[in-house]
Amino acid sequence: MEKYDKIALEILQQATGTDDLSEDKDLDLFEAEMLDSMSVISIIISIEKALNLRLQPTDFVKDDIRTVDNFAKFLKRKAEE
Amino acid sequence: MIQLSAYGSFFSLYIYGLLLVPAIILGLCGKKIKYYGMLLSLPLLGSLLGSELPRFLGFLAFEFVLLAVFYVIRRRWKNEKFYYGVVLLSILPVAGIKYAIAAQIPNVAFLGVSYMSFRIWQMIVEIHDGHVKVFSSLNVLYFITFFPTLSSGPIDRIGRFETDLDQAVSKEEYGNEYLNYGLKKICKGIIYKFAFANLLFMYAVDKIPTEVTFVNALLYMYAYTFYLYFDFAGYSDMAIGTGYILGIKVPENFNQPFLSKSIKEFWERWHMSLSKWFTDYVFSRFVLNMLRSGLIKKQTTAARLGFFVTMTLMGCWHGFTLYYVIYGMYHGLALALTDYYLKTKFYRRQFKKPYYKPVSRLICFHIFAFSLLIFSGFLIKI
Repeated sequence: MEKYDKIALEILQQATGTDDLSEDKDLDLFEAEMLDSMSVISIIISIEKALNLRLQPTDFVKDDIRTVDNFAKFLKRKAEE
Repeated sequence: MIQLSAYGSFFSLYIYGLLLVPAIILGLCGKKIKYYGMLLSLPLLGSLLGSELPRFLGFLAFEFVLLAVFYVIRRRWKNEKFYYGVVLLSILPVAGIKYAIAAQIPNVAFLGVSYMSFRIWQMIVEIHDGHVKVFSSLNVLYFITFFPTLSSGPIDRIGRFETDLDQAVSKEEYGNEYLNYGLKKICKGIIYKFAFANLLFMYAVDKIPTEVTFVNALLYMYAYTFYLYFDFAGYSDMAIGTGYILGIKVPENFNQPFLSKSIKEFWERWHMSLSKWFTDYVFSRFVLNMLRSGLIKKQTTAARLGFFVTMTLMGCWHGFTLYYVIYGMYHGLALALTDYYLKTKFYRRQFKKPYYKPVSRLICFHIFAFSLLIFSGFLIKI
């Protein structure tokens, strides 16, 4: 889980253009207006580079990337599929 | 043969009302409404389509066979070229029909072709992505032709639709979440369409002289914008409400669009099922392809080109008429410019100030209203 926690954090930090999301892994990124439709694309590309996993926009729902924690769980699930 | 219209006349509403009573009874008894809904499709589709029924069935048969064949083949074999071939084959009849409409060739078009196409193409993409685990012919046919949303949407998704279809709903849940909400939506829809839109059309839109002068264009722009909103939102609410009564939680189409502070926000509040569809199935895939293939290196460039391509296609989908295409390109350009604007220092400094919300709403409204003036065809005489 450690590995995915790190990757999730890095990817979301890059997508939101922020330096430090590690403080609050439960922060709702949509509510905080840090994610939009273009971020989703950025996330998909980052996942491809980090885990060599090719995903489509319809492979995940908003909840999967809503918080750093959710995203880490999602990555683990997808990588092990 | 009783000719019905899609929520266009009180007579149609009366007939729908009667026909929905058994659905309500089933729901309030905690029983599945699915089969009644499917059975009801037969006479209702027949009545809605009337003389257009033969070509509707021909189109449906062609597309359904295409979907079934693609599903079977895709389970064993994933090939991008084959996938694009299927997509192209599916688009061909629709493009032909749109061309015929623009060229004013009669007896080609039929009710629902535009919106059924979205549902069909969505299914093709989902089959390609491997999201369609089971292909139930009845469910698929019902999904594509779902009569409450046949004429103008809202556009649903197969996964979501099938979940609703087969979900066991208790009497209480049906009464509170489906029936209650459905009836409210229908009432709101009736007021929007039959009262507001109707009055706006009769006493404003229809009363403005057609000569293209600045004053006439301005008056027409405001009248048409509000008329279209109430007409379309009204229709959508009636479609959504009817869907709910049949046990399907049809997606929303409008969320107070005139509160939007930017054209980007606007498309998240106006005709939402359409913009979500274009975002998921056109915009995202186009941008991902551009970036993955390396044709475009910068994400912002790919996004802005993506907006333009997507919205232009949206315009073309309305019809192969010049002002529809211009309407699409106008929105593509507006979205690209807005994307640039939202990243400027000026915006970051201004958006928290008290004046910003009302002023940006006013400006955004006019940017959109002008696009509708183009869309209405009022200006073509220039």
